[in-house]
Amino acid sequence: MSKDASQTYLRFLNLVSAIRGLPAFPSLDAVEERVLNGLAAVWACGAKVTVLEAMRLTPDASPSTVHRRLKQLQEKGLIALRADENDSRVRFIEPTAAANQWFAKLGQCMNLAARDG
Amino acid sequence: MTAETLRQRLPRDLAVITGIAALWVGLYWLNDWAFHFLEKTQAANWIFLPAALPLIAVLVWGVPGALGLWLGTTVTSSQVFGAWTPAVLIAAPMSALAPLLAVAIMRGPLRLRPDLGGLSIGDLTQLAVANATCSAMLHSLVFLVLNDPIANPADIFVMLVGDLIGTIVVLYAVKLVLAALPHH
Repeated sequence: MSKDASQTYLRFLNLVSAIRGLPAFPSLDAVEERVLNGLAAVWACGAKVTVLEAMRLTPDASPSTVHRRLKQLQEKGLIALRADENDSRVRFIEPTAAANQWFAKLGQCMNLAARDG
Repeated sequence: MTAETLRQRLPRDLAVITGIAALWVGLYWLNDWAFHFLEKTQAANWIFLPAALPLIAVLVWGVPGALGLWLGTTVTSSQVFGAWTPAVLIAAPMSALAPLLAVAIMRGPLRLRPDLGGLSIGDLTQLAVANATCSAMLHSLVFLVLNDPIANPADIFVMLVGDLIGTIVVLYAVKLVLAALPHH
């Protein structure tokens, strides 16, 4: 590939990467939502949750399914993984600002529904 | 530039020019079909989808991208003015000139690298605003000179808003397509 063509391709890739950064409210499928709700219940108690614990949080979904959904939630920017300071094999799941925004939005919707109802 | 380099670049640049021109005309027709009801005049619409293309074309391909826009806008301007009048030749280059001007103005403040490395969505937004502003101002200036009833310089605000909304709509459409593509 000539230098000129590779430069064009690089510019294209960087532009695509910038467009991917457009703010968006992520859409969740039913399992992702259940996993996120399960995590939220633990976070609300002030407890920490590891990936391994999260895989057992949703009894009606297999651990591998939950693991896949955790990866998707991470890709959607709703959870972040942080390695344990003492054991790097243990990874904790933490809510991101987008997750807090998601719950706040759902809360607003419920308030609105209650008020209109 | 040597003759050898020029010979190598020519087919690629011609393909870029033709492709961008075709895409511009396609987006123009799509906009006319989808948002005809939002049209204030033939030259100003509250949503103008093709506005996203100049910025993308100039950022990725540079001058060949701008030449493609010039070719495309020559075709669509003839539609705006209803015939191949001198007004077409004066108004058409503005859509190509605006993104070149916007990128040239913003290159320093945004520290744009030649490969666009590190380009953020914030930078892209600022470039889109700069492009919409340059385009609206250049077109208004030309319309003022032309003194053509079809092209009213007072429509500068409609053009600015139309360009911004059009750019946002297209960028979000691209984002949705990218999100739908399988991850590797």
